Amino acid sequence: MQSGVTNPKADIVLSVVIIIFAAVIYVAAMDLPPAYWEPLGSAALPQGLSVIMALLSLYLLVRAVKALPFHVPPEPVKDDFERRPKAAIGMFLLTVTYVAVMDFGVLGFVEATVAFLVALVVLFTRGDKKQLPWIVGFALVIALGNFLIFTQFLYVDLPITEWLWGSV
Amino acid sequence: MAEMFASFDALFAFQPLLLLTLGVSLGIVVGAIPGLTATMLIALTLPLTFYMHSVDAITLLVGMYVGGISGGLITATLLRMPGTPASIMTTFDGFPLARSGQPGRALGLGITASFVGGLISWCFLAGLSPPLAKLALKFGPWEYFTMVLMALVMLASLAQGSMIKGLIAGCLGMILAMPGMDPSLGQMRLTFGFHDLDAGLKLLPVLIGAFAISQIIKDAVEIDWKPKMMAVQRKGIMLGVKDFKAHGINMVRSSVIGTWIGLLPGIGANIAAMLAYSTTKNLSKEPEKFGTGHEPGIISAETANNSSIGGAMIPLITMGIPGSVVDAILLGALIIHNMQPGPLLFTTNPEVAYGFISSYLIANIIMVVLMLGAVVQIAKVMYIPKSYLLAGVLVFCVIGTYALGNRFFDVWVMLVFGLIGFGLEYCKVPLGPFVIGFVLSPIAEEQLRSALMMSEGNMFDLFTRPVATVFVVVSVLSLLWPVYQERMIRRQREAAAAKNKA
Repeated sequence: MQSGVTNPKADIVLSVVIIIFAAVIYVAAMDLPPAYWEPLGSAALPQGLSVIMALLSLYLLVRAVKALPFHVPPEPVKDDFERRPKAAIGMFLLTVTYVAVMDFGVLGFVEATVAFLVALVVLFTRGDKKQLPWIVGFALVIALGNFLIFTQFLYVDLPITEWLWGSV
Repeated sequence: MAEMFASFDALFAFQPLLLLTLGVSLGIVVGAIPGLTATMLIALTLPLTFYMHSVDAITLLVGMYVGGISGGLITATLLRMPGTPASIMTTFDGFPLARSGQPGRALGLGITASFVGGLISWCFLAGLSPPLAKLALKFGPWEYFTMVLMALVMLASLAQGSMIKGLIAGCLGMILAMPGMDPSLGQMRLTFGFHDLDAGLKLLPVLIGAFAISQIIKDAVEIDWKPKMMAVQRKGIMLGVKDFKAHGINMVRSSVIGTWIGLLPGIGANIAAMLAYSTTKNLSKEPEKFGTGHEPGIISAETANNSSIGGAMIPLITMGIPGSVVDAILLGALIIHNMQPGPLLFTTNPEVAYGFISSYLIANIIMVVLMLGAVVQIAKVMYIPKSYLLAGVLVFCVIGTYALGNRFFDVWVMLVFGLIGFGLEYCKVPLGPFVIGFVLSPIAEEQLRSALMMSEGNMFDLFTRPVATVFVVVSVLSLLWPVYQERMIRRQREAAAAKNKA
């Protein structure tokens, strides 16, 4: 077990978020009707757990605030490669778009997957044009392969582009 | 005994053997790829097991579990990068030995030690599980509730990292399992008017989000990292009788340590390897050689981490208590297949309970054959470009989650939990207690409410039951132990500082 505060700022944010979440749960559970034929009722456990969680977070918060003035950030680790947080953010946004496009019926699985994979691998490879034929081939294989396996062998209905192919 | 033989008999057919081999192979490959973990693989495979017979599903998942933990030794040895947390200790001696020109020998020692560890812990698994399950059948709701409580507290307090954060993670996991229909009253709660939440949050989107998506986000930040190539030869990969004579005692000792640690909830394979390694070092006549490519170091780490799998399966199949995150996923697999995890499994689904035991042994045999035969080729998967790999895995996360119920709501839940998992890990909050809290929360609540109904709301009825009281005492001690340990360390430091001043 380690109890030393390694990153007080992160701990402060974490504990505040958890306390707010615990308060929301506690208040939401207050609306539940009281127990009528069993001792505990529906609200007791969520409320009990949210109180415990809030108290633990409060302790974490106090500890982090106390440690903040004395905290010396560690020396950044020197890697032999460049870290790319923007690539991770881009990837997540692309994934959200990919899911939204299928959820709202704009594109079906195959078309959306090909577009998503091409965009994502291009982002990862920093737009290396030499790799483009490989990327397109990879996207087609993954999209069509998965479509075939899931629809023909596992009997899962994957979304299709209705405005292009009509409804099946 | 007859059931055990029957389960072996059932395994020696084309389909189960094929699934087991597939599971072990995939596990080894994924374990050997930096950034992918056995947990991720098993969570992603779960949706596919819907379409399988329950025994086939368990066979495949157990194969992946064994393969995943063993595959981690390849990167640990050749790259000094543990493929799984369980292989951290292997890097200490495996990598220096490999760099000194003996990569084949380093891998051979690790593979054989993993196999022996698996074999010895299988003996414990097969010998202890049926009688323990019979004993657990006598447990009532109080015993069950306190056992779940003990598992959660031990997991939060004894696992690596901050105890407070572990406890917060456990509470958070438990609360997030509560939206939907209350199991006792049928009352809707915490749905915030969202009808998609009426059935609660499903286990798989939460698991895939917390373990796969959060890992992919982390890997995407390091997308430009490329492993340094190391040539691997087969020379020295097969061990001889001499080696077994030299390392036999170490193998047995580390296996017993690994199995014992695996039995305890929350203390995973990495702690088992650490404890076995330090025990071997303390007992050694040449402790200074550890960390420089010393063979007993590799042996103890790899024997212990593999044997902890067998140990962790004992509470899983006898009481329905997961010893680690992967065990929690296996527990989820049982629930998904409409089975009641716990001691009744041996009565209601003996083919599944014994299937766990027999497939664990066969998986170990397949693992050693595959690893000794093809480790040089398997080692090449470490160099697969991450750009393609992560993109493919991400598509699979989406489609696998969608396939659970043909609805995109589950996919959105997965993405949200991916962010939550990433955020928690960034703040050094362990994900183990979070997931195990999520899995065990419904069981704990059901048992507590049954117990209170039986005792007409009298909580002190708990202390009239000796087994439940022992579980409560162990929980309290688990909470106090880290505090006591920290104080002792502080006092020792202060005493040493005072001595230095003087």
